[in-house]
Amino acid sequence: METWIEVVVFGLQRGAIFGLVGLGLALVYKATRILNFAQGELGTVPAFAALMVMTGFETVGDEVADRGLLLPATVVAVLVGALLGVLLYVVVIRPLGKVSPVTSLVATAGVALLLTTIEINVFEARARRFPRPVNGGFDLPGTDVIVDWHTVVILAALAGVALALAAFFRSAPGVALLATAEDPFAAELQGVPVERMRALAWGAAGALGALAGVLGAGVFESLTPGLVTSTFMIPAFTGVVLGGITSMVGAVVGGFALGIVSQAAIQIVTTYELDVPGPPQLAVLVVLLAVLLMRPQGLLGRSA
Amino acid sequence: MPEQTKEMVELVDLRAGYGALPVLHGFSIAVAPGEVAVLLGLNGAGKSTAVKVLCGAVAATGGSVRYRGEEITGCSTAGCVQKGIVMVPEGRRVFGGLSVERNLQVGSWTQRGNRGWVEAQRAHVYEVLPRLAERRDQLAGTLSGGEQQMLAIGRGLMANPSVLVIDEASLGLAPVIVREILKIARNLAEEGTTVILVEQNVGALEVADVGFFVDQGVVTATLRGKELADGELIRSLYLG
Ligand SMILES: Nc1ncnc2c1ncn2[C@@H]1O[C@H](COP(=O)(O)OP(=O)(O)OP(=O)(O)O)[C@@H](O)[C@H]1O
Ligand SMILES: [Mg+2]
Repeated sequence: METWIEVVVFGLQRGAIFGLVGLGLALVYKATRILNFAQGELGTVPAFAALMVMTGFETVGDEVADRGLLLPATVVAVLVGALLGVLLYVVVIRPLGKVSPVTSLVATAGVALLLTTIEINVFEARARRFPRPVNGGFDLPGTDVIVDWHTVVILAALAGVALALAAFFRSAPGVALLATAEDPFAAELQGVPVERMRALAWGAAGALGALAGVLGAGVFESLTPGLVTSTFMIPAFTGVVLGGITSMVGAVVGGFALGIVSQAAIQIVTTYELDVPGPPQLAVLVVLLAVLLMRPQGLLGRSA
Repeated sequence: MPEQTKEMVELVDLRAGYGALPVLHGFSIAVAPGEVAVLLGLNGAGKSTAVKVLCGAVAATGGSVRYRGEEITGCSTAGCVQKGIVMVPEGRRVFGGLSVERNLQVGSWTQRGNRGWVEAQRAHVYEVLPRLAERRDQLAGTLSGGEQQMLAIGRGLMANPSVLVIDEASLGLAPVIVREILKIARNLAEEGTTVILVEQNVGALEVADVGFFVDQGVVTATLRGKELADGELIRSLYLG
């Protein structure tokens, strides 16, 4: 019993990060119909920016990050993420013009690779310690399970993001963004600056990625080049597909589902001493396959 | 200095097209403030192209667009909306996944800084188009064709137009709904908005102050007064 409670707690923690990454993916897909494979690096690069703020710009040293600076560092990271998102749209995506989904996927994967390479060159291919905003944890009442405060922080951050997004999609720019996503020509005829709306979606996705990067590095208490892509990107993407690609709520629901499924897979494999390579990844792929076979529009998406 | 003129909108010797394909070959019309103008003509005559040039959605390759006597050729769509030239596009193109109320909110984009005005205008739109008021929380995609057309017009009105262009309002609608929409257009003009209707339906001439017959990218006839009700004359225009 206890172990399954742990599965759920860890599942929710991972799931919330998948959800943050997934929200960025869904937002960009909704606004510009592009699967942004660079979303993960829109998390890792800002996390490195935060680390730089906390270590006094020590790119390769062993300077310990000053946890007291985590809040301003996170603000810097979010700004860097937003800027990077806008740049990615303006410099790479928009000049591509109307291309097939595969072409834009390859382009964004190329950007992810490029950013990872830059990270390795600047910060070296090694792990740096990365702080959490709150250390330690607490006993879940009535159990022996210890819940990290960091898990609470991540869930609270996701809840804050959800509220902010809900408010945004009621505001004039938010509604104009939804209109642009549906029919750019009709939106333009009302004077909506369509290109600026698309850039706004990419910028917001970058900010979400940054938050996922900082909190995700906190999960491992370490940061390596390519971290968010290698640990959170595939499950987040799968969660978004599960949730219905353009659905924000679906991205979060799908993220949690994938978080719990992958933790459960680890648990099953250890309990029964199964000899399976990479159980969480495998579980994720099983979900992806099941969705594509049985419900290609996802749980909450509408069929095209 | 712009020359003094009593016209609201003038298209003068306009030339435009798509890529290598020219569509307008010296297209000219003039519409006075508060008039209802109707552009008639066969499919592919260039009516939609002409009004798209007026709204900045298609570039002119020659000639000029004047608004209140001011030369505005080459103005962007957003710039035109800002000035008060607003188009309700062919095919309505409401935002199907958004509610009626949200569609109107998108319409008021250029006016969003003026909350008081937007509130009052929304109330006015619901008054002029009462079917929308009953359905304000309904998704636009689930409205009937006639209701969608009214929503598209309401959305256009939320941008505070001085000139409202409606492209093929009557397409695919029952005659009784078409009459209702034409009456709405007439009433808008009585309130001072200049209305330009692009129509296949000659019945629209009943509410018109001026009619332009368009053929192969030029205006071949301008009808005013009694001519607007001269069935014989109109039939001869269609027969060429
Ligand atoms: N986006 C476009 N690209 C290329 N050609 C176009 C485009 N839009 C219109 N055309 C062409 O321009 C010509 C005039 O089209 P336009 O839409 O202005 O006609 P119309 O008078 O509005 O016709 P209808 O009554 O059928 O709407 C047609 O031959 C059409 O094929
Ligand atoms: Mg047309």
